Amino acid sequence: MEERRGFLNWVLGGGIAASVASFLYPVIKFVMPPDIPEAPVHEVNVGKASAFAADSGKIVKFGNKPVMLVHTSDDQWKAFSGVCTHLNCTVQFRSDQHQIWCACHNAFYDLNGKVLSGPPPRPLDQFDVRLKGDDVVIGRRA
Amino acid sequence: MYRWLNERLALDSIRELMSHKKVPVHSQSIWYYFGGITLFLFMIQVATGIMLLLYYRPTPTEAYESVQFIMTRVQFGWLIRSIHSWAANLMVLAAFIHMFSVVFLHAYRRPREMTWFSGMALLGLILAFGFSGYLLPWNEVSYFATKVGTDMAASVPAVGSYLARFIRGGEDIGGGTLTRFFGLHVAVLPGITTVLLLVHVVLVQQHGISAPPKLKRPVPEMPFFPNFALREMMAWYGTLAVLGVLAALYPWELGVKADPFASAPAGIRPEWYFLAPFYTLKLIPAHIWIFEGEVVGLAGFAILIVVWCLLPFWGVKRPRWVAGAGVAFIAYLATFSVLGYYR
Amino acid sequence: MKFTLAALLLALPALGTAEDVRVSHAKAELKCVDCHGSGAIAKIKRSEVTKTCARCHAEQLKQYTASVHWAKFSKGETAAATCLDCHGSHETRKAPTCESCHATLKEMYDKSPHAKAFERMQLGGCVGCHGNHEIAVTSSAMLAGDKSLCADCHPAGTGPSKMGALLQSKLDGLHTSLQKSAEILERARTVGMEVSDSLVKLQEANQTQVQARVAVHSLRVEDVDVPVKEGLQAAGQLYKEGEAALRERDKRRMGLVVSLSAILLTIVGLWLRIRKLENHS
Repeated sequence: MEERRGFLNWVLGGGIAASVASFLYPVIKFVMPPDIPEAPVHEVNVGKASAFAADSGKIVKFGNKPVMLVHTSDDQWKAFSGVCTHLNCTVQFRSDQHQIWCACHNAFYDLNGKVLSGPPPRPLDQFDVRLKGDDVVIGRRA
Repeated sequence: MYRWLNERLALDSIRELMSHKKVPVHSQSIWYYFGGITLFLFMIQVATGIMLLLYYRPTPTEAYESVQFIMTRVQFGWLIRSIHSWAANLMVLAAFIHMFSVVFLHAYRRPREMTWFSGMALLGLILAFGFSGYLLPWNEVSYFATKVGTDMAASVPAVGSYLARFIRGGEDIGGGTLTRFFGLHVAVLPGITTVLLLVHVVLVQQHGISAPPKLKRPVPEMPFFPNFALREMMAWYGTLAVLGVLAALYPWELGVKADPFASAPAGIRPEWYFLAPFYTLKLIPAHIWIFEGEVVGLAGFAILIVVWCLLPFWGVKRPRWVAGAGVAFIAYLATFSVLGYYR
Repeated sequence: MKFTLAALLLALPALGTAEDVRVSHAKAELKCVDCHGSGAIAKIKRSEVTKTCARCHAEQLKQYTASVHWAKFSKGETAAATCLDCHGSHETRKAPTCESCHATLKEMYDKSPHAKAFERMQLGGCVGCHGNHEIAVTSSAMLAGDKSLCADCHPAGTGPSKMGALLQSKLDGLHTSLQKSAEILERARTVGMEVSDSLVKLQEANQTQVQARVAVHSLRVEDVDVPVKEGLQAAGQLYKEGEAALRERDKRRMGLVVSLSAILLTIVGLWLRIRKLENHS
């Protein structure tokens, strides 16, 4: 009888202990922050301003997406999504035309991201560019 | 240890009270578990909700990304989030089952009217939790489901536009809406719900568990402690098993980030517990006599809800009507939910 | 005399290209209303261009409707080439101008030996391999094997023929690799794993296929290798991510089994306790 009772208590106690452990384990793992505390990218420091000559444009990485950073001849900084709105090719800067160009189907965008010619249906999304000291920082538009 | 606490918290008197609590035993006793299951699911929601709060960010630029972060980078983030989403749905289901079992077992009668009213208020709060929480992941489905919902609010005559602006926090759904819904979901609603829950549970202890009037008295009973309590533990553990299977095998989708400028995808619809009224409104013609169709629909729902809430007053002398009304209501909800899902 | 002859000879090419269509439209005494309709002269909608030209050029329309340009256009991609994009509208010309949309392709093509050769043989550049109206969907099959276009001029075993086979194997290799990655990621996605980031990267990686097919036109391995290498690297990385996702799913299943066992044990324990309790009383 005693043995039986002991066994029953074992089953119940063991079950409760095991189940509570199986709930607490993920909870404890969850509350400890992962190694990369920040996943969403809203701001990227892309380098020194001196690295980008005036009247030039370059593709830089923003998280895992390309962004076209343009430093105009009158010292303005602009940034746009580097993904062409037609079929997602990566755009480039044409210094001969002072425009953004997509090689895939010959699309042209002006320095406000608006479509000048070619098949793209929408203008390029704009990003914010700020100068923090000598660093160029690109951020998402809210 | 127990003595120390007992001296200060009067645990003995609580124990004494609880030892008198009894639960009727009859063929329909199984329905008695559903109130507790709803409560248990609420506790799970609070726990998983607090955990999600550690990582969630309530702005349009970060909400979706933070949920993605939880689903992909946080250890067991997928589990906590999926449990939270599934438990929300299960809680709504359990609450409806609980309500209908109260109707069919006639547990709303005197002196339990206040329990019924607090229960109906709690059901409303649960639906508000569902509606506000649904927007928080800020994906395409949530954005447009909220849009449809708030547009319905706007069609209320006279106060519609003010109501919609108040709910949306602006003219359109945006950051303002997200902030409001977040505040509602994590602070306002939990606060009110906790108070009402206490009222509801205390009232149940006060009046005891009701047995259907048709049963011959005295109705056989079992003590709450330990007999029913042990069974309730089994039910709660069973709920955990269901939740675990759902969360692990059918993790909740991340979806596509909301884009207010994109057109609504085809087949947009609210969560399943809003499907019946949603589909009803779809069926109503644009104009009925001199009134706008939607207004008539909303008015109809309002009347129906008021009548249903007043059940303790009209449902006592005519129990057959009540059973009929209950069956009809369930049939309507079930049919229109299915239709709303497939059409 | 010599002067007149020279002038005539110089004028000949002009007569043979841009001018003759305008001349023939004029010869047919086409008036504005013949295309624009009578009454208020409306601009012909882009979607109705083919219908308008087909009034006389039904044969060309039949060929065009078998083309990839029409396939895209009719599905709503109105940026795809239609009659006036190559031939102009009022200044109708016969010379095809593929490079006005396919600019990079022309750049690559100009690097290849075909550029000078086709001009010499008057094969019409792009038209030589791709046709003019009935431009079919391209594939690596055009480079080697029984559907090979190269074989039209280059016998098997020759240098160019071997180059075609080499380029085809590079394109096919890239395609297979990307397809394998797509499959494993799709498997992971269908069992509920969160792989949207990888799928976005896959979309970008697929661009390398387009780039490789463009580079093929230079007929130079070093040009094709650039996108192919990039694509293969991305595909390899994505395949690993797919594998990791599937491994994670297995871990989750294991975890579920463990916790379900603990839960089941507890439920059994509770039930036994209840039975013991109620059998005594």
